[in-house]
Amino acid sequence: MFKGYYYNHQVAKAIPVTIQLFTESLQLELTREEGMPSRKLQWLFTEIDVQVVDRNFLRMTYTGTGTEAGTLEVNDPVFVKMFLEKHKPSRSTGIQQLVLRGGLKVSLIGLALMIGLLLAGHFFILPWCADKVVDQLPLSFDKKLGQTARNSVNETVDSARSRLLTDFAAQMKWETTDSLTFSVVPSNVENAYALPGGYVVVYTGLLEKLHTKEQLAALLAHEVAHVTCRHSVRKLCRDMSSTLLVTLVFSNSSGATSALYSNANSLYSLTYSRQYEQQADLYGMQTLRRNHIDQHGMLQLLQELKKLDNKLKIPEFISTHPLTNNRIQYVERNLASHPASYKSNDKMEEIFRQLQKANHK
Amino acid sequence: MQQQYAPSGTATTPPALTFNGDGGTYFGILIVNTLLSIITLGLYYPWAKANKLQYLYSSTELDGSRFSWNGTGKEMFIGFIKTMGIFIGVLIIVSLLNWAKLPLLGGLFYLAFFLFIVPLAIHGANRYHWSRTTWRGIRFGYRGKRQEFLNLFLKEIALTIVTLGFYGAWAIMNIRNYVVSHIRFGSGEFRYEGNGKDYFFLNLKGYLLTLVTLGIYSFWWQADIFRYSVDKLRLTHGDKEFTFRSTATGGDFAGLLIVNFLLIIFTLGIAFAWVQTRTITFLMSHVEIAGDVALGELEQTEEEYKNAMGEDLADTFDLGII
Repeated sequence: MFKGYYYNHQVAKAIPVTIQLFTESLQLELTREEGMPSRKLQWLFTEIDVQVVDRNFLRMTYTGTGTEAGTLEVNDPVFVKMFLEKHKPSRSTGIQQLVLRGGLKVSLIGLALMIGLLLAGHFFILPWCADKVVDQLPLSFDKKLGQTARNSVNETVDSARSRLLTDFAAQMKWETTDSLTFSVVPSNVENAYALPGGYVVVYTGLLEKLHTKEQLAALLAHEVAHVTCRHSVRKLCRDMSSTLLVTLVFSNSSGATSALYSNANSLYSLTYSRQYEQQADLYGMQTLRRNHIDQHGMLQLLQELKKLDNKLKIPEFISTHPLTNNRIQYVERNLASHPASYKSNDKMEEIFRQLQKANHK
Repeated sequence: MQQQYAPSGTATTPPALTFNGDGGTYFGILIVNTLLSIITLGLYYPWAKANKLQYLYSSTELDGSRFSWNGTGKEMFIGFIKTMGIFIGVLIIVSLLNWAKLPLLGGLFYLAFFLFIVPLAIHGANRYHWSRTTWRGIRFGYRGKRQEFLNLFLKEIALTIVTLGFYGAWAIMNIRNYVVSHIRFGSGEFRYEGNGKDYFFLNLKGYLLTLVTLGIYSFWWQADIFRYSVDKLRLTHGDKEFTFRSTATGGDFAGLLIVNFLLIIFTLGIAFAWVQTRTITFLMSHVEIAGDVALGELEQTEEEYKNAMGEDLADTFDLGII
């Protein structure tokens, strides 16, 4: 027996009732004014609309036909619990009910779930979308982005050595529709980088460490692979995907592209993921094989880099290219699984000697 | 306080408004709503709104009985679809006019559309919202006439524009007088008797003193505005009447708003649910009801009205009516 209030939908009078709960129905016994006979109502579970307000309070409205139209309100946690055990439809109406009955605990789980969802969106879904967007962008976009980045940095180019490097690269066939530009920049930094649109820059610091033309060819192949795989555009779009989404929502697509351009500067400080580096290494080796250049050049290049790695000063090229040992391993595996013949190329050898001579001036 | 006696001789203590909502549960409702809205790309919004309103209304008590909000997500979703239909229709007409090299006509059409749709939205939202609100099984209702309200609204807006906004206080009061005075609580009738002049000087004083005190007076200004909206309200039933009175002072408002602000800042916004529940608790507990209406005698007089389109239109303009 439980206590509740019944409202007859005709007048705002709270009529106290005692409630009996059965498996398929409930019985309401209305308390009448003194001297009046009491009245009983029988409500089948199929004839009521139930609103669970919280774990203490239930409201049900009779939807069946007849003159019994009315609302019952019960403020009793024991009744709520027992009723929900018997009344299956309202028990299984989803997470909203969980929150209403569970209070703060369920709320916090909900919050954790939402944060999880947002993180998943940020780390997986948005980057995936960003990749799809990059696939749609025309190559001219890369070119323009690269130019913007190029113009924003003042690096004096060593024109003589740049010409030699360009000649050297011209000896190789590049499978790309981009026009490639190769330059040498005098700097102690042992680094090389590629900007979208085909700007490949090698610092003299790194150039002087290379001993064979195969190493240089491998380095260029690696950098060009970054260009053809559009790694920097992908990385930029991924990094900025959340910002871009917000810009897209609040302004329009031109706003989004201008946001990208204004971040062209950051192309210089991009660090690629290990996945991109591996792709560039393996893609570079393909380029070497296609050009009949000894693909061991890639392995030697990495070993050369590893030596730099062992020095006290951590060279920039290494710090942005993590786990050289790991790279050596998969390059060795790739060498074993793709044996290829190679021809000696005197012209390249000759240009490489000239480059070396220029280095030692 | 003086005890009031009903004709039958039984003592009737004036009822109180109380809010028992719990910030934790409300927080959960908002979180689940947000979660489902994200997953469904916003389509869940009508259901989210229904969940929220059902909880807030069911947590509000008058004279020991809770209010109930009976609107459903489905009703509001249908309203939402209709609203979208109207907007798409208008966009098509405007772009057709643009295409026909009549951009001026398009702009005028756009302006006229907004001028007419806002009052219609207010009207529709009130009808739906009040019809879906019940207390002890008795429905509220809004009996404003659409044409009447439209005329009133357009007139007030026109006067406000002509007077460069100075008429705004009168316009707000006339519109509020009309809307609130057409709200029914079963056989009970609400009355609001705001006065444009009083409201204008109240705001002028609030504005000037806020400037002079570098913002400190804004809490007292807020308290004045709240008091004006409560104290001018009455509920009549036959020859009986309830009057309402705000007991919130500027100091009370300062306490509420400053703590709210700190809560939001220090929890990075997570406390917003608690901020809302404590604000509602504050407002309810500062409304004092006095008079001799016997709430138990209110009769069912209002029809059911399930067209939620006005509600959705009002949402679209973020009119925040209730």
